[in-house]
Amino acid sequence: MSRTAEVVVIGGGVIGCSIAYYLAKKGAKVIVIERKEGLCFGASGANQGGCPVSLFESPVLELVQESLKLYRNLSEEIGYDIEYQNTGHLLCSVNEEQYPDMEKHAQNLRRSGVNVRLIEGNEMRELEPSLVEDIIVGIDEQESGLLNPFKVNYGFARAARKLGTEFLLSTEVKRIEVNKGNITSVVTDRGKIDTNFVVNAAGAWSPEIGEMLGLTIPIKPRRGQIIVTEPVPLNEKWRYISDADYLITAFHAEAVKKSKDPRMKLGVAGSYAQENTGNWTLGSSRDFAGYDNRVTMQTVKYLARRAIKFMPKLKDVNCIRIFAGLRPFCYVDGLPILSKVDNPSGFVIAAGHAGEGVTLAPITGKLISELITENRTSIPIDAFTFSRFKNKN
Amino acid sequence: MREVELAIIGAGPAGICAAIEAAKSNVPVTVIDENLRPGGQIYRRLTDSFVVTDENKLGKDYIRGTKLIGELERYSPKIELTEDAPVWGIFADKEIAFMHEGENEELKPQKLILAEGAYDRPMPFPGWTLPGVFAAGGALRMVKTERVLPGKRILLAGTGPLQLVLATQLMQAGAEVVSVLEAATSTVVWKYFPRFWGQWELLKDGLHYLWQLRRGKIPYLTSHAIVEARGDQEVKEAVYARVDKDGEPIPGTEKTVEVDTICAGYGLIPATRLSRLCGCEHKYEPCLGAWVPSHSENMETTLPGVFVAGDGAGIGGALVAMEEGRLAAIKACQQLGYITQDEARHRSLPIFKKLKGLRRFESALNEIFSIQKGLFTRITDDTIICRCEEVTAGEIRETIADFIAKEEISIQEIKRLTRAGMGNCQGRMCESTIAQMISIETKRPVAEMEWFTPRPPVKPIPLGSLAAEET
Amino acid sequence: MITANRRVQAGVERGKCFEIEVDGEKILAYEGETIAATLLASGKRSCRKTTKRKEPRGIYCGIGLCFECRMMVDGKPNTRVCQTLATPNCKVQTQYIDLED
Repeated sequence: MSRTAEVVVIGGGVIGCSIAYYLAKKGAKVIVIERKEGLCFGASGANQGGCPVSLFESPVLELVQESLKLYRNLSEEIGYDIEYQNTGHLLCSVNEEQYPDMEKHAQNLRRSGVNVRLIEGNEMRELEPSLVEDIIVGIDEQESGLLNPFKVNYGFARAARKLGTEFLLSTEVKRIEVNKGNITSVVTDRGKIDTNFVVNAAGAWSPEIGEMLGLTIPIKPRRGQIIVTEPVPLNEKWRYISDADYLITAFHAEAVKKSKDPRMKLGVAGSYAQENTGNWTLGSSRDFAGYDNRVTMQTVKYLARRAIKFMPKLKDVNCIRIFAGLRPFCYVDGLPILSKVDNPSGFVIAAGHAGEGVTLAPITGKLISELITENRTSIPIDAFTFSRFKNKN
Repeated sequence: MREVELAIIGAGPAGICAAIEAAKSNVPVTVIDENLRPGGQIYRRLTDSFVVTDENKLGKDYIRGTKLIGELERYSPKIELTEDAPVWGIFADKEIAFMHEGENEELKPQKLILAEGAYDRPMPFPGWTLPGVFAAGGALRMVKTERVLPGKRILLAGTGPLQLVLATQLMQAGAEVVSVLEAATSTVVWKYFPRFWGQWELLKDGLHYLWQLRRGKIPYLTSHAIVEARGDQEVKEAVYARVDKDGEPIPGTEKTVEVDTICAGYGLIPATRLSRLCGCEHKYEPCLGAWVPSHSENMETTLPGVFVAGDGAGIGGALVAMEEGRLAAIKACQQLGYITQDEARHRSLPIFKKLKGLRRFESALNEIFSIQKGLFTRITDDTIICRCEEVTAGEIRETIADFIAKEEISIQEIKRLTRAGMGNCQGRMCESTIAQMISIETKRPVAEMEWFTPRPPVKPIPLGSLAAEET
Repeated sequence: MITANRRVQAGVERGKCFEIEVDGEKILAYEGETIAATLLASGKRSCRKTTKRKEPRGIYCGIGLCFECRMMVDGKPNTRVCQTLATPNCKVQTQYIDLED
């Protein structure tokens, strides 16, 4: 069975579906290929649905801000409720020694145009009594949000389909055919698709696709585990709270390696999000275990302990589910890859979003659609090129 | 991490017999059970605070249970039994995590026998979430063990032999049982009679219960099913109808009866959360409408050293459970080196023989009382399917119809898009129904579907108990 | 005081009895009973109201798996009454988690 498409997107997660949507908006005929029988089987289905602004710094911070602008109107635009809520975000520390780092981080955020305020422990507890005594300082910011990642993934897909995008589920890419340096087709286990453009949005599995073209994509799966609780009454002021240690575990691999603290070694730092249904998702952790997405006892224990440290009331709340996701992590510099490649022409990589895939989905879709249809992007993406790895080898 | 040679999860008939069999070969055995006393569901003991004055009033199964638990107690010096200990997770390499006295404990066995048992199949119909609607097993527990009536004027509806046991118990306890609705057709029974041959004990049981109903003048209406439970704050009346051979209600035959209690008994489905978590292979059994762990004739799963026994390995009742427990233990003892292959064979052969006849009987029952497709047609769009998250059948049907590749939709994707299966019961009440609904809408056989991704904890546990020690 | 007594007397002798409080009303309980049994004995089957549809739910599976019988017991929410023993003077309340808090 043979088909034709202007663009083939490999990967039906939030990134792939967002790219399909924005391309379809520009009139492109897109086919999305997904190996599993549904859309959310990768990291897109194993996250907290958090879109935090105050955790980032340049160059990702600018992308995040643009992405959130798109999120705020997305439900209306695609005619499907992604359950986006502007919850704001509190980044806070239980460690006195982190005070100067927190001040510095707040300054950096302000410099990038993010409206934040440094807030002392006592005031935090007045606004949010569930927070623990030990919290010393926090950064309160109002732009961040929480959403339903499944609805985002599915919403983009649905909207893309309405605009003519075709979805091939349970379909595996076998090889990508190239002639004289140009892509000519994608061969799957269910037939061939003639095309000149292929987007690699396969997340943690993007290296597999790269290998088909002899390209080494420096991404490996980084496992993150999350505890889900039963529903409890909503928090008063903050439903999205992160532990300052998150900045270390997520973005400073060397510090994590050097640490003697067993919790830090497992990459456990608090990331707490309360869904509008009342359930808390309690993250976060980072470890490298290949493609093993099982939950581990040790990490779970530290996740639970850390959560209780920040909100003691959680002690009596039941944990009803624990899951793990494989986040695509670029092991060279931790930044996503949003880029064409030199050879073959027509191959675009949109992967390596680590823990920020859901947050960056809309802007990734928009930028990649621009890259393909206009060969330029509305925001510079020089920091995310594939060619940056040539020098690092 | 405490290491042991043999761990058994579940102290119902299968677990108890496995423990006794292992103790006979001097294998140190650790049994972990979530209840306060051994016995599982069928042989559940009364609380210690009640004094049993006449066991005969508590039913035949109670007396059988007393005998079995007596035997367990005789071997107790060789068996470590931890009660009130729900197992919530099994990790890589058979590591077990369980809760005990508010603390998290861990165990690493060389060989593991899972005897998780079974639970009432949740079978939705309009109004089934009203207070006053009980699962038959739950109602049975209340009258047998807690010694209270679930209500005053009671209708039983469903399919299968458990209903007869319940009706008899309720009647003997003084409840007003209005009737027992049985969805299967009576003529079917005769077709299977040859498979009942030889199982006199079981046949006697069945006939005894039917006779009790006769004596109590309780109508036993075959080819009948409940169509709706009505009431505002609790059950006030029930609507039922005649059904055809596929279980589909025949229009125009509806009758309404005033009742305050409905006991819905649609048979049992194996509890397989732990066996799934282990990662061993499961097969879908169409007449059970449930997944069952694949196992060898010695009850070993596709994971070496992990065994299953009892209703958790396929619905077979207490007698089958006991024999399967013995088989699993014998094999485990042999693998641990406590008995030779010859001795294992010698002990297992008579059990194989006994099981053959028992299983023929039980499988006949499963076929006679299999869940018919027609029973799903009474599910209106407004019927709740996921009780925890309040997801209706209409929402699920819409989600299937709207999906980008309708034929491919999986149970896991329905969970993500509707929240069905994300509640406290962890999908136990809705998973089998959702699978059937997908099958009906997409014409795909349930056997081809995967289920909700197995994740720990398999029972909700407080965060405080999960937490690591303070560093 | 709730007057219904749906306890089955045949075959057992109960032990000590005491009072528990259910939604402000005192009812009789026996040592060894689960709160679910005590409620059923007094004719009460409903335990909570659901968050989304505000519908009444009560004891269903009886063996601790369905989580429908969750009530506030001595201030602790989400307590399955079919798994919890009645204790003298314990306070049991119909549970409703209001997310529009």
